[in-house]
Amino acid sequence: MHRRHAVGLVLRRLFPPGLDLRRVLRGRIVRWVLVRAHRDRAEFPRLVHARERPVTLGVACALAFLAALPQLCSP
Amino acid sequence: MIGVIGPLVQGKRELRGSVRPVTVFALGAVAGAAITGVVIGVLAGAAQAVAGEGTRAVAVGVAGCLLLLADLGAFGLRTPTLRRQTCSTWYRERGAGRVWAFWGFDLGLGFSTIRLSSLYWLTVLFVAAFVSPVLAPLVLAFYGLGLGVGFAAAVVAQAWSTPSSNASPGLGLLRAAAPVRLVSVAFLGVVSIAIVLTRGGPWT
Repeated sequence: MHRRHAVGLVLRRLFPPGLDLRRVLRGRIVRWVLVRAHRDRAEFPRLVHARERPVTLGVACALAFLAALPQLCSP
Repeated sequence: MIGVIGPLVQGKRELRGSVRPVTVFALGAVAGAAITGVVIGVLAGAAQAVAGEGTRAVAVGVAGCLLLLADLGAFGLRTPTLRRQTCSTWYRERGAGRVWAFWGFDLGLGFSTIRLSSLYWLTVLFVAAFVSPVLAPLVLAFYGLGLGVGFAAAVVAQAWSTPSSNASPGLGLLRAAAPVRLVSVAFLGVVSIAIVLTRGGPWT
């Protein structure tokens, strides 16, 4: 028997401005998000995380840079 | 690191002739680190498809705490690392012109030489868990950039220091290893906890 995985999520209503969609998704990865009354408009998670990505990227780059510095003192 | 790739640091004390070797070293390091980033990107694609962000955050935070214990030597744990140094004889075998690229690439790979602390491994886990697989090589390139900048700083410091006949130029950095490692370990702990609090908690 095959397990079924959600590929999309339908929200009950239009989400108000400022609602953090990550909380709705709770970290789940879905192919797209459909909002009732806007069924013709799919929003990809790529766009959902668009605001968060620069911060994550900046933290990752800073971590990588800092991780190199102790190596100067390695034998 | 400086102890092995010492000919430049130990030899000439003039900055003008050091620009090309340092630049080639930095480019090699960025290239090596970016290649490691490609591999991490593949792992990131798999990890991010399997688990949700909260799960990944907790996993990275817990792994970070384990790495912290390993760095502190608790429970007989040790920093995960190969005991290999980059090859000092490449200077003779490859020639002074090309050796900087080889050293940079080898050290930029990250995993192939000895680690002073586990901060590098936490970075790898963070990238695999949270960074887009496509951008992983770019992020890891900053590791190579860090090596290049650090090496350039060491060369500048060496050029400005007072020459001493009986002291090895890399000795100061080796002596600084213990406090630098301590700072690195503290930073590792803070970052691990911060990851869990900012991304793994039910309030996030």
